[in-house]
Amino acid sequence: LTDCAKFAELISAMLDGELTAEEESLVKEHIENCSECAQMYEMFALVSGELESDLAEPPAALKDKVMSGIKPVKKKKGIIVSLRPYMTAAACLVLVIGIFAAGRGGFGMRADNAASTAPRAAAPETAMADTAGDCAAPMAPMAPEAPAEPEAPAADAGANGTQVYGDNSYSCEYAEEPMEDSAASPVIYVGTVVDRAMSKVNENDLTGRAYIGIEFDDGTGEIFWLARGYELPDELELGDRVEIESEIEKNTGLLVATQVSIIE
Amino acid sequence: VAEKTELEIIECVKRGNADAFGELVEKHQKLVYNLALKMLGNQEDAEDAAQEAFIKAYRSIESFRGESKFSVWLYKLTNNVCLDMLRKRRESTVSLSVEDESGEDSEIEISDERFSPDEVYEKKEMREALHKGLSELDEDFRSVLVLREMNGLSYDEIASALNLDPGTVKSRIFRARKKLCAILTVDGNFFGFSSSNQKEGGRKS
Repeated sequence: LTDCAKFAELISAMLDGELTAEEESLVKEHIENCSECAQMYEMFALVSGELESDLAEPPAALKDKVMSGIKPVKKKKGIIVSLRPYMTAAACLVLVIGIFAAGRGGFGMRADNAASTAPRAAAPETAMADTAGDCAAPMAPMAPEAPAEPEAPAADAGANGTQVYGDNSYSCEYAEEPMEDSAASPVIYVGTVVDRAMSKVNENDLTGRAYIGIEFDDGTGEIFWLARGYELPDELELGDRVEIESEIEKNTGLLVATQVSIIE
Repeated sequence: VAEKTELEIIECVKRGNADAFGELVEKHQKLVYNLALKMLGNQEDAEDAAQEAFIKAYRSIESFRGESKFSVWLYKLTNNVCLDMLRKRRESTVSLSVEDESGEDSEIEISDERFSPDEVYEKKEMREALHKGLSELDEDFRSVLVLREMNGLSYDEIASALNLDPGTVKSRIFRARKKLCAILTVDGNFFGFSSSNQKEGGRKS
């Protein structure tokens, strides 16, 4: 019986192909002469065979779940958040590619038939231009302090046009009369999102303009408006660390974010 | 050649190509899922565990340096996720189980009745008996047995995946088999059916 105890483990290992040829022949010889061990071998083999062949198909959605599970992590690193026109949620799919470094001031909406869906955004360009200058940053709601004039970049950088694709219900394009002196390189800020909202202020045509409040590492803050007609993307959350490309909107003097990238 | 391709894919993933990871998922999902299924005993948990294991693999892919097969590394992660889930499950449920009076390692005499031809069971019932039997094994036993039988790992691979000594793997697998056979003998459905079924040994060279 001690002999059998010695062989028992070897029988198991033999099934797994873990014995040397020599060991294997010893075990086989023993099995032939010992019904109890032979029985054990049979049972082990049977269980083994069943287990081995008992493979279920993985759920069809597993791969997709994994892939969508890993994407957000990547996304958090340096994703460029496009700023979409809020009035188009139902009507359009808008892709903002690249940055709009130039002609920002004159970035307007031609609201042929978009007027009904977005009356505000379709506010006459001229009216806005008229009030320009009066509605500068101090009007910004909740601004910790009046947004300072950022080092207004004077240089004339190449005009990187914005590409906005939409369906036919409206189109976005540069204003007919682009502001002269319009080319300037964007200023980049890095900070943490501490506020995001839509302005309810009626004066100076700020109504319905979205803005983000950013706190910089030195504790100071700044309000960045979004180009008229754009809303903040849902992905952007309070506490996100962002890099903001900004510029001064010509006709309003507002500090406007042209691109927001979540950086960590 | 296949192995090399896999390493190339892994390199791609390391360089930031998340989509390439999809190929790895496709290739390994079946065995990862089945390992989880055997460890956890139900499909829902198994899917969650497999998903988590893959996501962990993706996030820690940098730490895979090819000392072992990728599959072995992946199974190790999967096994750990499963053990973690089992631990949480234990913590969150009040134990109603009564310890087997005869003790953990009770020897159950293998009776000759197991081959009684009275009843012929469906393959399905055999499987169910097997699943039930597996679920009654200690998880340490279950791990080694499943990794060996289903995932096809060698003793050395299991040893490295579970941080065990190869000798321990060998004895654990033996004890797992013995225990499982004992459970299945008592259950009756497994070996009861087997007599009319297969009877063939010597597999795997």
